[in-house]
Amino acid sequence: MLNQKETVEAAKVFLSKQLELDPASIEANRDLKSIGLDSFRIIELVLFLERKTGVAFPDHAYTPENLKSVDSIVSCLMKL
Amino acid sequence: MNNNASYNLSGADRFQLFFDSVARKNTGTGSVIRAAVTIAGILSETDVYNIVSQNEAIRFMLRSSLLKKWYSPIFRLVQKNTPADPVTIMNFHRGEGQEEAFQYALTRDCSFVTGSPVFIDVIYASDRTQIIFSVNHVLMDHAGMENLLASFSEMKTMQVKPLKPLRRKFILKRIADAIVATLFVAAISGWNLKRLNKKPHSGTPAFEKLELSIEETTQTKTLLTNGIKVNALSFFLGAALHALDIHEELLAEVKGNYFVAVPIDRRSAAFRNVILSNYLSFIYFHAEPGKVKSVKDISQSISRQMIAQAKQGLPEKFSSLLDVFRFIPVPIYSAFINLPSKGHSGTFAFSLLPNSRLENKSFLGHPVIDVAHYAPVISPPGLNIVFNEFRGRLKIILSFDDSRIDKLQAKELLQTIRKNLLN
Repeated sequence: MLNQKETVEAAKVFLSKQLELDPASIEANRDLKSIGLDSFRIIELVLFLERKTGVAFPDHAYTPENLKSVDSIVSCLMKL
Repeated sequence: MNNNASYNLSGADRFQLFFDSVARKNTGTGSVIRAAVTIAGILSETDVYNIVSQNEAIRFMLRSSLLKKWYSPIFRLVQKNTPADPVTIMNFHRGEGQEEAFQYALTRDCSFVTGSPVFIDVIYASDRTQIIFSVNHVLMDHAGMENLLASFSEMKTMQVKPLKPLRRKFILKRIADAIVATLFVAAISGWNLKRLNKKPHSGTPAFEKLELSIEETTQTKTLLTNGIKVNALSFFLGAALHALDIHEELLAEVKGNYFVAVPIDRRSAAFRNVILSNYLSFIYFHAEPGKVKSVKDISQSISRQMIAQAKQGLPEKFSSLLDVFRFIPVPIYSAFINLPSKGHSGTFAFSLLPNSRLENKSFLGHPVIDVAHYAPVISPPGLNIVFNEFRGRLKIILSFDDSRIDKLQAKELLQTIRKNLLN
């Protein structure tokens, strides 16, 4: 299973492909909406990380706080 | 730009083509999307003319024409060598009643066949000017309109890129996806839409708008962030669906599940500033009337459906479905398009716009006071709701077909949505 750092890096690569940005330019603690992700793409990011980590993101975890940034999503996943 | 280049239609129109074949037969290709911008100050007609006529996106639209070949179901947008004169699309309203001028501008038809696909109405008041853009929906969606307005605000050259063509190596996969998406559409909507045995569209577009105060908008946002999962979209859509459930007479002809299409703008970074896009995809929700107990219930239901559809990759598959249309011969296409609706479509469309790029900016050299987006009216039942925030105030704009819904009903619906947003 990926550790927290590897999961964050995987998320950055995923986002860089989605947004056509350089992975290095994506800050893990930045608000995802501010870098151009709509709500649906945020869900796609969560689903991608579920597949990568093998951890299911439960229904009750889909809260604005947990979905705010790459860091917050990964932290939530790591606690599960 | 090569004037002989050919462009496919935008995702928005191809979606409309799919579900709105009756309306298209009766009213021509595409519906009309509008935006009204109010600025502080009085503009000279010459200034407006000069700025508008130099805008590249407007020039693109003035050169645009539609081409349909007998063997293909898809209209194509082509570029004429001789563009229309910008003066023919601009109208200046002075001295007449402002309300009448506004109503006139908001019901203007924008047809490739009988007139211009774009019109700009400028309405003068004593201390302000209102500019209303009316554009055929073929040319842009809401994001495209926002990009067009931003191009005037930022004085930037608007990009108008040809749409990305379908890559042949993925054709088999796309056809397979298209079959899955078609079966999905038929499964979730077929039994519902086939009851919509509507008469042809006969009314004219009408609009009602309700604006929340800053305090009410803040209260709505507090409820949104504290109580509802996932995002604003499910909350606003929940409030709108709950209101429809309360005013069942509005959709009396629609028995069974609601069928709601929410366009999701999938523009990639390279296409973020263009007016045309084929990167739109759609999510479908259904909610049974009478079982919609609260905004929170329906928001959670929508969130679950949204996640389930994302897991199945359905938004991408719907895009494939739209792409594959261009290869289908007309007779097969006609049978195909009539499969879920038996020739009659029924949609309630919904848009949640991002914060306007005109926020705290100038437009044509003057400060912006207000912006409102008016959705295209689709038929039937011809109900389209846009949520649009500007300067901390949330606006709910209802577009409807006045042969089906009267103004009083529209006002009542708006008040119920407002109440749902605040409780």
